[in-house]
Amino acid sequence: MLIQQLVNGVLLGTTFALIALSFNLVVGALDRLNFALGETAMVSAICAALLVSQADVPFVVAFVLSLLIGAVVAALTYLLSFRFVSPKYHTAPILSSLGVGLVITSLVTRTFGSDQRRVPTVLEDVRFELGPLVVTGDQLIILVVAALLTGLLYVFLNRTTWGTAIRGVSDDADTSGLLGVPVQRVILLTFVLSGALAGASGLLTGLSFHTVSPFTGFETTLTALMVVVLGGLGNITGGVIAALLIGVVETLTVAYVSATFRDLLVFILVAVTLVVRPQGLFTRQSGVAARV
Amino acid sequence: MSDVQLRASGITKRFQGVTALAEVTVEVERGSIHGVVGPNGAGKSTLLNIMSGFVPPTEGTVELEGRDITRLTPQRRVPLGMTRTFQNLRLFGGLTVRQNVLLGQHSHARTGFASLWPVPTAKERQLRQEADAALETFGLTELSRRRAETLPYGLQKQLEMARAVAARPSLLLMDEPAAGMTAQERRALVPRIRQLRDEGVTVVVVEHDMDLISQMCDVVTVLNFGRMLIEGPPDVALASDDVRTAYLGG
Repeated sequence: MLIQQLVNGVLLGTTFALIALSFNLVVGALDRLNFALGETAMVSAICAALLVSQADVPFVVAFVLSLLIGAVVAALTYLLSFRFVSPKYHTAPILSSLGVGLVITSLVTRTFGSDQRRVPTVLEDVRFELGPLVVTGDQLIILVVAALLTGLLYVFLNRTTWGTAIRGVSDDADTSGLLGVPVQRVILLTFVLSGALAGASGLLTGLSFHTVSPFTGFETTLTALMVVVLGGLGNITGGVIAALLIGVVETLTVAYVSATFRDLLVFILVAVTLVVRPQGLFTRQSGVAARV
Repeated sequence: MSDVQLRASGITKRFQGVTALAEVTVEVERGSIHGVVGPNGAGKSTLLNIMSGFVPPTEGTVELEGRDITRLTPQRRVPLGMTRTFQNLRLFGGLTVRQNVLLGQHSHARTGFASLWPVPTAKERQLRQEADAALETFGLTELSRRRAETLPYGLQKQLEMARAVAARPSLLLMDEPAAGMTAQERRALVPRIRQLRDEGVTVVVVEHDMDLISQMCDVVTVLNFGRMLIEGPPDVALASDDVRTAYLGG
């Protein structure tokens, strides 16, 4: 049924939107991609899933912890892969953050094993039926939390002193520094926020599939990259729209074509976009190549 | 007894063998508008860049309120009360007019974790009022929600000044504030800068426009080929024979 699949697609897209937001924040602040964000999402989700399923920690608490874990991991990634690398070396942070990602995966499998972890249903008895359309309680949680986080981020970036500083550094780091903005601290804060978003996205994705695997990190990074390229690098609104689009395309492919073609169609979509509109579907400015 | 706020003493700057400034000493008195003029290549901008910390001097020292700040970065000079504007505008094009001004206040507005929260602290509220007042002064209130890059050049200049003023400087360094302005905007500039001085801000201004300098400044330093020709009240300094020769015959 098409409408149900569309709704499912949008819901999947909201989790992509969070991780894409997370990428775009860092792109904005540093003009660099943090390739460990997928693993950051994964480690937060695994820890939260373990707490919920084995220690009976309430989901809300586990969710807050996933934000915190994501934030800490991203801050460490910044210090290890970005802070002390000269801006001259464009590829160094890419390779080094990829390395941090590998280390995270390896630490997780060594510590917790390589099994998939279950994320139990949170709202078991809640179910909304609108004619033939069904939305589960968990899907509703995903939608509400993702919307809430996006809204909070928007308010933060536009209404607070630190948020304005992030936008300033994003726009022109040199001038921000000259005005007395502590640029390095602002960048660290941006990583912390982006890590928290990644953590949230990891746990919410886990909730939507009711399972988390320690090997999904790079896949998440790849999906986020697809979203970010499609929406325009650094373009926050474009990223959200692209995430929903990719969510819908993936869901429809699985439902009507075949699960094996799921990623293929998205990759084709992105490849065509790169050829036809390298600046992304929703951006009018410079191309991806010029910014990476 | 004079009250010197900024002292640049014995400043020499050489760029790969070329001497841009040679043993220039300038003392800026508190509460004055101090003009720096000279023909192209006289070293005006270099002097301003050294005063604001963009370029280190080869020799000499810069003191603010008696403290040696020669080695401080521009960022570290902001909390000490020194702010500057730029000849080539440095605005945040993608941010609104008001956000540009608020960013200028960052070092004052930041109060640790409280500034992470959307409800402004008392200090932030106070600063936002000052930001709105600065926008008002420079005629930008109506445009405060517009993106800075959409403003015409003249208004962008006004915005840069509003941003500098809102940062509560005690010393404001201005690099060619009138460049690119219309005649009308230039006329409006003089009373605004004088008003700043009357509010207690010391102003150092580098400018080409001699009329503007003579109307506005209390003291003028004239540079030529990196050396100081004369310093004094504008009517005296600008009328001296050396200055006439430098401009007309130089």
